[in-house]
Amino acid sequence: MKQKKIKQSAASRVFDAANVLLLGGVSLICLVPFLYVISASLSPLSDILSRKFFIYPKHIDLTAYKYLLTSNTLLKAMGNSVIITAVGTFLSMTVTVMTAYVLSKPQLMGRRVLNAMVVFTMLFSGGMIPTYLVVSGMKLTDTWWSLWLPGCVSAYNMILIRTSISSLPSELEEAAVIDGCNHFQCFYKIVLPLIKPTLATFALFYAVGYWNDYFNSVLYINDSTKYPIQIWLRNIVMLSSGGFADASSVSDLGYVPPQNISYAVIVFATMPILCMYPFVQKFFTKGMMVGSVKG
Amino acid sequence: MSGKKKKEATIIAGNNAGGMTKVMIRFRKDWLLYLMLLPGLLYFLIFKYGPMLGLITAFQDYNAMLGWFGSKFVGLKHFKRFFMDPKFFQIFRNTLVLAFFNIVVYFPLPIILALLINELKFRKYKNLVQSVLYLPHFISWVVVAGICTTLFSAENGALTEALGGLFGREVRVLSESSFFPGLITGQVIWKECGWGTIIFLAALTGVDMQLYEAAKVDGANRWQQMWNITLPAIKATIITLLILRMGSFLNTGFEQIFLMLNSMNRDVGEVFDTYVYQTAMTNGKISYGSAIGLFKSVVCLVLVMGTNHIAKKSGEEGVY
Repeated sequence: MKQKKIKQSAASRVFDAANVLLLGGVSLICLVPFLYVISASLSPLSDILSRKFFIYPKHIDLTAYKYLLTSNTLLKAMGNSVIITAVGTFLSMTVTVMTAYVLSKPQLMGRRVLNAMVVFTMLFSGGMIPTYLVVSGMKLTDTWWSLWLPGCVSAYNMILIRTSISSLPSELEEAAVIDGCNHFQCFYKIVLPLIKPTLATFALFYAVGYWNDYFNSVLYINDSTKYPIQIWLRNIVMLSSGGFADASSVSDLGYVPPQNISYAVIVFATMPILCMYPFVQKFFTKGMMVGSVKG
Repeated sequence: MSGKKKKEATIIAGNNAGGMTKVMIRFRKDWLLYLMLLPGLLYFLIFKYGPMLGLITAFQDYNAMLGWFGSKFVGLKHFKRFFMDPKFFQIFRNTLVLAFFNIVVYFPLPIILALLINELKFRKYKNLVQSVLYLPHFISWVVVAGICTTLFSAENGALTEALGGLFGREVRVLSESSFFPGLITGQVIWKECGWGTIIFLAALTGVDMQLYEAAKVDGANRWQQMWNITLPAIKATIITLLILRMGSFLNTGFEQIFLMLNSMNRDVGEVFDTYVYQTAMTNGKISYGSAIGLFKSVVCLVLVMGTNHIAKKSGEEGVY
């Protein structure tokens, strides 16, 4: 390797240095809002009003967090979001991966038609209102099934997982069949362990989707005891910045929440993702690679 | 094993006339496969193709009591009404402005960023930059909107004063109409630009390093290497993404705009999806909302097919 770096022109070195600096700057732009919010949530209200902090707090004040941890509606909303995310991710992954496995099988009758059916849903959709009518017709509104079922399988994710299953050598499964495995055993014992990085990536995508979802809850959930954290957060932010919102869902705070509370709620709503991120991040490039290889 | 084969052979020998029985044999052999397909198939039929049939609503005066089978059929009434609606032009213009900003300002940025990241030499620094840049993608729109609202709040926003100093007057980013497209595009850039690079970087891992070696021997400088090797390597990906982007031309990030809309900026911020929601869910005009939604879906389909056609004509690989 070393002898290849014989000569580098001055321009090339200047470019390298500038590039390092530029991308460092871009990274900072991505990070600063996080640091700002965290430091604001830890600052006393007087510092926020006079803006005596930036990306680190001048004085530490945990009042906002203390308030939130005594708020039953916040804890309830966090709990709701945890259940919605956990069950939703499990359901979505099970159905998506199973469908992807079956659609990758060459012996499947009607395989081309089924695949075309899936692709078509990416190009054309019934839209918001007919979907709402189907969901409400099935009496799913005001239950979490309305958050889990209508978006259960992402056609895009399913196709990427199908591609990565198709790229496995078929000999592995043939050997398993000879040893007496049926299709489900092949799927469960041979295929799933081999595509673990892909599974981790897409499970994260689904989990983030469920955790972050706001609009489906607006559309389908009216019962404020079933609200996820994102709706709660939205209401707090609107109230504390002087806008209108459904105050009753956050009413056990008993007053218009000051700004530092809304910063603390933002931290609450983001923390689970920030905690999960480093562990799954290393799989991204590997998991996404299948997408760039057309199959 | 051999017994099973024998049994199959006798079945085939006994019924070699009918095609139907062949299907039955294949089905019996792989029945578990079809059982595993069932949940996914039901999902697509009920929640994807069901609503497509439900688009009949757009041609009816839908009444929740009567349902799809009892409501009166009114043909193109709602479409005619929509095209006459003064809102139609406004929504169309707003959507076009936002889509234009998205394609012209946002679309090239992840490509440029990916090329820059690709040029980074230190592996550790490169990984760090990538990890940080991907992060905003995982933050919800509610949080992004929340941060923006607090930063630009007229009462005590951290950036309100700074901008006021810059412009020499009080600037209300959240409610002044002229800032709306910039605000929306800025949010998209912050949230999605880094994540957008991942697909290009994945495509770049497949480039043969010998190409660069050969180019160096031939005396190509780094700009020439990038222009002649790296960029062509991601050209197919760029075109694929452009086709998909054209298809979602009218799908201006709905949740995002929904969260940033307020009574002050509605005249520039109202787009197809938010208007559908407003019409159908807030004002209860279910059929009218469906008609607007259907119009949008059809335009999207035409756009994606058109772009795909042009891409194929000019010798590129299409999406389908």
